[in-house]
Amino acid sequence: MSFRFKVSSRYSFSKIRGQRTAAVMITLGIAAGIIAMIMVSSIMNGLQGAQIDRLRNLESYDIVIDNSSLSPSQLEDIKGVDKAFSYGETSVLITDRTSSRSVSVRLRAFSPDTLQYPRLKNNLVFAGRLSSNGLALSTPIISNLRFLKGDNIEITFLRQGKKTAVVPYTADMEVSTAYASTLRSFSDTTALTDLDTFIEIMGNKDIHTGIYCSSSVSKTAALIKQADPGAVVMQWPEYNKTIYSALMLEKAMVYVFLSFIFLIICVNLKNSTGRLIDSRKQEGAMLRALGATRKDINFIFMAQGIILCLAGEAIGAILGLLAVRNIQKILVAVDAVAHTSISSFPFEAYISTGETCGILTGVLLIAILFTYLGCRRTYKTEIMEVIFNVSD
Amino acid sequence: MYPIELKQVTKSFKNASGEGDLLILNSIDLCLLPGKSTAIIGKSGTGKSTLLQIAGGLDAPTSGTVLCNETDLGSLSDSKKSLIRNRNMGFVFQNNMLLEDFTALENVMIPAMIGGSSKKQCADRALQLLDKLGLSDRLDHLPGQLSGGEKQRVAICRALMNNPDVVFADEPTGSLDEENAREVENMLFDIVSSEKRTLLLVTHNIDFANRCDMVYRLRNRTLTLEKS
Repeated sequence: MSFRFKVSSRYSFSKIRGQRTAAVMITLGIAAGIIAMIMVSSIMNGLQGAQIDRLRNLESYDIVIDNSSLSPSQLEDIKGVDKAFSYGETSVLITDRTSSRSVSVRLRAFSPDTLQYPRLKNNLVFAGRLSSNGLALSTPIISNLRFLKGDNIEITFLRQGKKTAVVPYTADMEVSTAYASTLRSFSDTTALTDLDTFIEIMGNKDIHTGIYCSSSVSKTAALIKQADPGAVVMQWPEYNKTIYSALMLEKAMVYVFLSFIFLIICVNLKNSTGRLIDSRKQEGAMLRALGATRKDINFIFMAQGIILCLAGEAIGAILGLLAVRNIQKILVAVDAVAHTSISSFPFEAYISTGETCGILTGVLLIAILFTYLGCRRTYKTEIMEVIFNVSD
Repeated sequence: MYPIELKQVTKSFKNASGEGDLLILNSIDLCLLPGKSTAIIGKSGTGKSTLLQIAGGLDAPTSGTVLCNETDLGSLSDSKKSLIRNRNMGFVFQNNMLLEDFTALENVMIPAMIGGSSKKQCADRALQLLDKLGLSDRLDHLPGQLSGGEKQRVAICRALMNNPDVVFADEPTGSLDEENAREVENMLFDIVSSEKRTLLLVTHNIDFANRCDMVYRLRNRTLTLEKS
């Protein structure tokens, strides 16, 4: 071991003049910061994962394509595409003629063969048959508005006008069946109709192509884009970008908040390093008198800070990952103390190896920077200033 | 060739007020003869320690030249100057300035470790020196567990560790009681003469200084030879 490592490792947890307390405080401060970052990041990942799963259920297609020059059957030839289908979607107002009560629903239009696709067929139960020009309403809408099968109802669309952007258009449609679904994408406020009827009323404006993927969504999207460069290919995060951006912003803000906490720890690290160095000035000067270079002395003090940081990171990473593995037990304990019900929220906290390494590397780099700032004064000190002070 | 030679060395500091310079040393010429001991005496505050530190390359003169075996220290980079300090010079200060986290043996080994010697070489030489100065039973003691005299003896061993050409001793007995001071004095002279080293001693103790081959007095910023 070189003398530089020997001296810096000996200095790191020295018992002299209460330095061990300072070193332990620095180490624990860094460990606490790492634990906080790992735990918060894992919880955020878990909560966001649960949230995204729910939202994905509301908008269940893996990919949505607009302006495609390829037909659904051509798209199905692309690797990774399990099912491609045209569908229409718009918001409409359904009015009960007798009571004049209205309800806003999302009208979705499929061709009959699309509804035979297993992922839809197995999750949609119709009370009858969805006829042409007919409307399938969810059972809650049927019961709330007291519709009966065969009722003619007024349905108001907003479609493109000749002079204005949109104009209301009212049509009569027949309630041909009721349906129920376990899919959140066919929620209570969704009505279904035949694709041809939809196109007849709305034209092709609100017609999109939906894709269900059998393998990686992003890879499949890239292949579609390659096959049809003019198409607008949107994955889930893109066509739900508002909510997705909000989730990402939320995560970013938590990181900013944690960074502030860590910044405070680092300022503390800088000051503590400065104090440790001040108390070692004489020894640093003596080492220089014995032949150590200015670089050697700086290395010793920098290495001391890095050793403390690495020790803090190791402790923080182990405890943080242990805490993540036992997050439910911790939340149950928090609930018991704070009388909250956080633990009842279903989510699984997780953190990827990459994210953990990112946190540890980031913290190490920041700690090195602040240790350097704390050490900077040693660059400026002349040997004799210190030896004079001692002699005097 | 002299181990250390000072030519026309002048040292001044900025006044505390920032106006004007305070002259400490004025055109000092000094040659240290190989294997001989030289003492510099003078009242406190006359600049004895400053002169020693300039001669040892720990401080730079305002003007003039310091030569170490004919190498001008002022022309060297920090790393080269450090190398010369490590190989050619040894220092003993009034305050022993031992590293408090290291045992007596490790403190003595440090100059050789800085120089890149192997652990075994370092340990062998350090043990030999500590044995010579009667510290064989204190090898694993931390400085805090040693007496003032013992600490200073460890500091002397450390100064001699790399077989330097010159040993600089700045008031080495200044913080010791009379008995310990006498013991350290004897040991310093014995080991320096047995190892045939050049010694530059700064002290205000005339008796101590008179044990040296040459004695200079620093007065009015200049050196005067008192004994040769």
